This record gives sequence, structure tokens and C-alpha cells, in this order.
Amino acid sequence: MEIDDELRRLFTDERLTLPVGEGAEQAIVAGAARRRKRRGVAGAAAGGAALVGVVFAGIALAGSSAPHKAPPAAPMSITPTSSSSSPAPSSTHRPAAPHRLPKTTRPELTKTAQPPPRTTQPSTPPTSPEETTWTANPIPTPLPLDTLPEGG
Amino acid sequence: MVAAIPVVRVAGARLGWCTVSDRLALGEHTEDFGEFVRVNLPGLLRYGHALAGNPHDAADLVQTVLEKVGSRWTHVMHKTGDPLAYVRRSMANAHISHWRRTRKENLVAEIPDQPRVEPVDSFDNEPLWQALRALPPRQRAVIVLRYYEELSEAEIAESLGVSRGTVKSQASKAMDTLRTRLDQAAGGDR
Repeated sequence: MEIDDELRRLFTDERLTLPVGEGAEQAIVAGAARRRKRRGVAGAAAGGAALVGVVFAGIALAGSSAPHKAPPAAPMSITPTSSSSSPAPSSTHRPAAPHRLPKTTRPELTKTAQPPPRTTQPSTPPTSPEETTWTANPIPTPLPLDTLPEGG
Repeated sequence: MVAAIPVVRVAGARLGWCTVSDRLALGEHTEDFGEFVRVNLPGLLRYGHALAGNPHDAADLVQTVLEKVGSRWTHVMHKTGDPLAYVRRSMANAHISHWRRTRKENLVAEIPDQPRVEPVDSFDNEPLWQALRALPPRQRAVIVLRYYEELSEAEIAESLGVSRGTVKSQASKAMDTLRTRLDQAAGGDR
């Protein structure tokens, strides 16, 4: 006999039938209700957790998008080239100035009939001959060899 | 896992089959999950017996799948036109994916005083049944769906979520194994 027929005979055998116990249906229906209830509770808890997460994320994003102070720029390494009697440059030097372009008065951009009177102080104080001028350190040029004093 | 379905022998009860027309009738008239269980439980137990290979695993398999399906019964009824076919497919997939891993573990709170007495399976002396039980779960599912459910290769592939080639190869391997074991059993009997 072919194995296909054997299998069909086996699967139609009466011994394959299992008796159903009393209360089996009620147990299954109760189990399904219990699972449904558990899933509902778990879903509500997950939804609540997701809501709390969204709220916290929103708060965090709002906090990070608020304007904050830029850290002070590192001071430039500058040395005075001449002594002066003026006060220390630190009092007039603004650390944030190197970050911005200096405001210059450009007359060609303000073509009005009467230019508004300058009521504010210029951004740079008037310089005097004795005032200190700040320049970057120049790189010393090497002296020619023939100008070096001969060693005794 | 411990079977929670009490297995009580009902004398003279003819339990089991559910025809296609019955399924259609059930789809039309059975709105209540409890009624669905009451009508189809015998046939599902029989199918689970063929699938799992023993009555206790069959009861566990049927109960687990029916509880899952029942917990989302409205969804199943709306999404599938044939809830019984859906349950059978779910049983085959659950048997393949989950059953094999967990059925060898039986965690209990307390060690029983007396060793568990395994009931005698009425198929124990059936060589083909023994060979069928020894097959890997997917191969056995393919055989059950083919010869119990009388499904085609395409229908089996759709039910198990695999390709037709996989179904064909699994069926071929299963049949070769069955033939080999039956030949061995026949040779041993001589």
C-alpha cells in the first residue's frame, strides 16, 4: 500500500478523536477574556508611558531650543608696541568684538537728504597720538649675516 | 505547560469533523466565541492530536490558540471570512514556532511526590504514527495539512507563510523519512 493511502487511513482513524471534557469551553472562553483584559491593561499602560515620554521629549526640546549665552571668546594674544598713559586696554577692549564685523559708517549707504545727526558715541573712541595702538606681534626678520658683529 | 482542558471520556460520543458547509454556516451564524468553541472544539482537538502527536500537547495547543484568537475575536471575525480555517492555520504555525521549544520543559512549582504516569497512546503500536511523531514540526505540519486537511501545495504555503518550494521540499523530506522508518520497522518485525 502506498504511503499516501496509509497517511489518509491514519488521519481518518477514530482513535485520533479526543474526548472533550466538561468545562473545557468555559475554561477557554474565560482564558480568552483574561487575555483580552490583560492586553487592555498593558495597552493602557503603554499608551500612558508613551504620552509621558512625548511630554518629556517636548519639554526637553523646548529647553534646548531656548537662546543661550555664547561662551566668551578667548582673548587675543596682543602686546602693546608703545607705552602710553592711557588706562589699561582691558577696560575698553570688548571680548565679543572679534566675533562681529566692526560697524563702520558708510556714507554711501545712507543717502538721505539730511543724514541723521549722530547722537551716539562712535564705537571707537577718538584716538590721540599718545594713545596705545594695538597690533599683532610681528615676526622678527632675521638679520643679514654680514651685519652680525664678529665675536671677539 | 500543563493541559487545562480536562479530558473526560464521553461514552459513545462521535466528536470531530466539521465540513466546509458547516464552516460557512458557522461564519454566518456563529457570532459568539463561546458558541464557536462549543461547536468546533472536538474537531480542533482531533486536528491538534494529528498535529502535536499526543493528546495532552493537542489539548494545550488547542487551548492556547483558541484563547489567543478569542481575545481578539471581533477582529478575527471581521478580517477572516473563515475563523475555523484561521484557527487551524494558527495552530499549525503555533505548533511549528513555539511548541517545539517549550513542550520539553514542564516547569512546576513543586516536585510531585509520585512520578507522572504517562497515559498509553492508542497509536503507540502504529509504526506510521510513531514515524510521524518523530518528524520535525514543520514537516509534520506539512503532512497533516496535506493529508488531513487535503490542502494543495499553494494553500499549505499560504497557511504556513512559506514558499511553495519550501512546502515541496519539506513534504519530500518528510515522505522519504517516513518511508525509511517504515522500512526499518518492517525489517525489524521480520
